[in-house]
Amino acid sequence: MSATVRLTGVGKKYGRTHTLRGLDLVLEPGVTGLLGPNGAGKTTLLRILATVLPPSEGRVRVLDLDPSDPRERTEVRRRLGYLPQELGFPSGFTAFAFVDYLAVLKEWTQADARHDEVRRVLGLVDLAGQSAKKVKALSGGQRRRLALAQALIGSPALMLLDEPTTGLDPEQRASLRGVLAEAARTSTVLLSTHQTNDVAALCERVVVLDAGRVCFNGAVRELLARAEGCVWLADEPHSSAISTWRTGTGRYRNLADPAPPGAELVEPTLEDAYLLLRSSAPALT
Amino acid sequence: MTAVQNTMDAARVSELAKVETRRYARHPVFLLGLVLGIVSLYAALNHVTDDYYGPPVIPAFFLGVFGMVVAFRLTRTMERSAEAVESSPTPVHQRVGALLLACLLPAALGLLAGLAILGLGEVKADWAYGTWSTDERVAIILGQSLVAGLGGPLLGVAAARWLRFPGAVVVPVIAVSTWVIMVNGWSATNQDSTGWLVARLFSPLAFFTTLDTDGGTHRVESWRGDPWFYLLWLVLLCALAAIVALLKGAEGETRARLRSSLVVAVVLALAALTLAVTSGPDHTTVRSPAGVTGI
Repeated sequence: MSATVRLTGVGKKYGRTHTLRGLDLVLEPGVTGLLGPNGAGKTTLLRILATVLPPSEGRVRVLDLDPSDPRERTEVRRRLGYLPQELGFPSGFTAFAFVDYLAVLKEWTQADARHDEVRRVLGLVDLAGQSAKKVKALSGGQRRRLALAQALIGSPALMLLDEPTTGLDPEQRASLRGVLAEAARTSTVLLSTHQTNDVAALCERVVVLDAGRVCFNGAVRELLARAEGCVWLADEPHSSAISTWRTGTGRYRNLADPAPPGAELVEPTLEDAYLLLRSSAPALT
Repeated sequence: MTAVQNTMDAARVSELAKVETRRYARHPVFLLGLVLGIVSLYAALNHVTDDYYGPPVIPAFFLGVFGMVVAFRLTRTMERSAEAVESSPTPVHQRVGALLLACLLPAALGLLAGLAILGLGEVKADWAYGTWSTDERVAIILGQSLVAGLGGPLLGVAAARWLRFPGAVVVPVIAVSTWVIMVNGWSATNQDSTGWLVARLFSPLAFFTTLDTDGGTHRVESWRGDPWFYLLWLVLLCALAAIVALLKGAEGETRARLRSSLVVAVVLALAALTLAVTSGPDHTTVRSPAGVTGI
């Protein structure tokens, strides 16, 4: 399978602060989850891949093109869908007009075809009925879906989504998963999120960043396997547990490595595996 | 660059310009200026007057100054979606180019206002025209209507591209308004001073006459300077504003071409200003019902 994204020794510095350092990463078609604590460098990585931020060092290849070359960067942008973490909206636009404007920027110059495409992507995010509404009249969740709609224009080969499910209710998130799963049949999707259950539901692979470095890069099931035998129920909280809480049954769910003998083991979630990974990661500065 | 790419770029800029023109036309500040401008112009042209050169200030203010605010706001509001916009294949100079094309809307309205003044403005007698010929009057009035309607918004786009602090919209408005009021006001008492002549014509809106009263009788003073070369200077100022707006963020060959264009436009503009200063009448003349005299 050919790589859509290939990063070699990529770093990014703001003044003296390293946001990313020595990043080697290959992304292939399908959905890849990007996890990490706040400040790990997830958004910086997405901005570099979206060609809106140049790296300070290292080599970036996106869709087999070099974004540092202006002509190749334009070609990358033709095949890119990018949902930034915080997308603001210009005043006065309706939902339709906003996506239509972005579609023009994405070279949909034939009005009829463009309007069909705008209707299609608004439909994908369940905003077809809201297309004539002013953006300022939409709810937070609707605005987030509108922001996602612009990233779906033209079924891009590479989709970079920075926390797409923030502010969505469970039904909307489930619907969005369907959209992304469908998109991933033909695209490479990089999904940056704090929602481990979205990653578990959608992604074949997961990359975990910490302090600008990759601390895990592999299949979701490999990360999950690391937590096997580390989650159990007990009548008391475990003193050295990484996380522990009282469940609805009155028993305590403990995450610790390893489980004590005879403990009632339960199936770990991706969140358990992520927390276990974070607790075992060496301090990175 | 291939012909196919050129056609594609033109189609894209054309589509964007349509969107930006619609945004301009719906902007509340533009609509307010339009209504106030129409009402004011109607009131000014609805009676016979001594003040033939007064009404052009109306489109200059309501299309030019209001247009600065509108264009500034339109340019800046798209920056809220900056990351999504920047990750599109449309380069920044094409996006700004579309905004600049949208400024043709107030320019077209300025032209209509200018034609209305030229066609409908009635004076009590010919002395109210001052000593300017018919074609010179056309240059004076188009400079304050058509070109002001274009130049104000173009300056607004340029200011929005370069001034990055909150409230920056007031900078071009205050700078231009202060300069225009100051130099034209002081020129009224120093009509034949070459220094004040240069300062007045350096301004984006210069008066060529003043309506005065002498012993209860109105008279029109016609000042120094050549209206047609001054109009050319204004057009070149518009070109400079557009180039400066496009220059911000431009890369590679586009940037190099814009820098060359900027140098050429500056040279041509200074030449036009020099000709505007050195041509035309070399002293102020006064025209009143009694005839033409020097001052």
